[in-house]
Amino acid sequence: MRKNCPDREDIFMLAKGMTSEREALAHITNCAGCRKIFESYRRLDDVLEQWNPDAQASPWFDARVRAAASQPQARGMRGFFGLELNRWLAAPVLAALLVMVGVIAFRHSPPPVPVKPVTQVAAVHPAVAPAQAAKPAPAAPQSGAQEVSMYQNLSVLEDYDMLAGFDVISELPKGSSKVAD
Amino acid sequence: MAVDSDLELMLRVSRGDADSFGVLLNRHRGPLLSYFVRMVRDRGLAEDLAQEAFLRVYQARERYQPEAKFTTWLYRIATNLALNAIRDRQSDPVLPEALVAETNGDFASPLERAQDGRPNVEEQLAESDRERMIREAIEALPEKQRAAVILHKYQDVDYRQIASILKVSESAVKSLLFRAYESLRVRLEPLLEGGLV
Repeated sequence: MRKNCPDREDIFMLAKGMTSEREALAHITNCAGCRKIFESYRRLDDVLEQWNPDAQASPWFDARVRAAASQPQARGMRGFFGLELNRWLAAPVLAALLVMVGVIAFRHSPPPVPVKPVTQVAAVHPAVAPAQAAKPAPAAPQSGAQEVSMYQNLSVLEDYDMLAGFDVISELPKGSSKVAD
Repeated sequence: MAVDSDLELMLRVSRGDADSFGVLLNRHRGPLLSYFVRMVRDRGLAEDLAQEAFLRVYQARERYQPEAKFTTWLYRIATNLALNAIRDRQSDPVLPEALVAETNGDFASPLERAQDGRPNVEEQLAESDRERMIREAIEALPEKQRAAVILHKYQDVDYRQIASILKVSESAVKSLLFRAYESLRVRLEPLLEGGLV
């Protein structure tokens, strides 16, 4: 293309009949380069015309349209529950549901259980945390009576009397720290 | 005998004349279906969308204002439906092409094929290589360019109408078409005798 040639978009518009500038038309007649571009758009149009997919309606097309059209109320409901409105309602409805579920779950959740210090749990069951159990809290040395009282007050051993009389425990040999295989 | 214009027919439909709706249906069924087939490729989906478009026309009959040509209104409804269908399809997971090729067979059910827009065996056989190349080139265009090319080239809709359908200016339509034709020229180079310029 030469310096005074129209740009491609102008040539395209000429080829498509979007414009009919005499000057540009005269230029294309005399400029081989521009004429080639012009003709390529025309050829492209010819090529595009070769795409003819089968688009015959099925025999029940009209019947389906008429049947749907004869049910305006049902179609109106589809507006609410069908695809079109769902696209827009889905997000806010989901968000509102999540908030409701969250509020209900929060209201019905049990009050938090007070957490016992680790040293107490370890003392009850040395196997759980032997390292901590081996070292009783130095700041609060306890007498035997205090320790028994503490065990009775542990939440996991609420029914101390029942557990004390539990057969399996009572049958263990005294002083034995482990059960025979 | 004078042929009733679309506008006259639609005004009659708005007054409750079901026969006029039948005439409109008969007149525009073929072109509208061919528009949808080119836009979404899958024939089953295209037919559903065409029915939906006619249904929306019927539902809006009482609100119809004869400000623009009937076909402008009809194709605006149709274009919105087609673009939504294309976007829905793009958001659906599709089997990777490589996996399909690896298995050397088409294991997708007809329903799956319909959902992802792939043509069925009959459609594949009916489509020549030449047509496949053109279809793929047009499908590769951005959605507004695709709609503009199909409306202009195959539906014989003028630029002003296309502008109204796509809700852009007339000069924007011309620019859309120019960019589309430039892409098509590159993609369809083998079909253009004499090659590209």
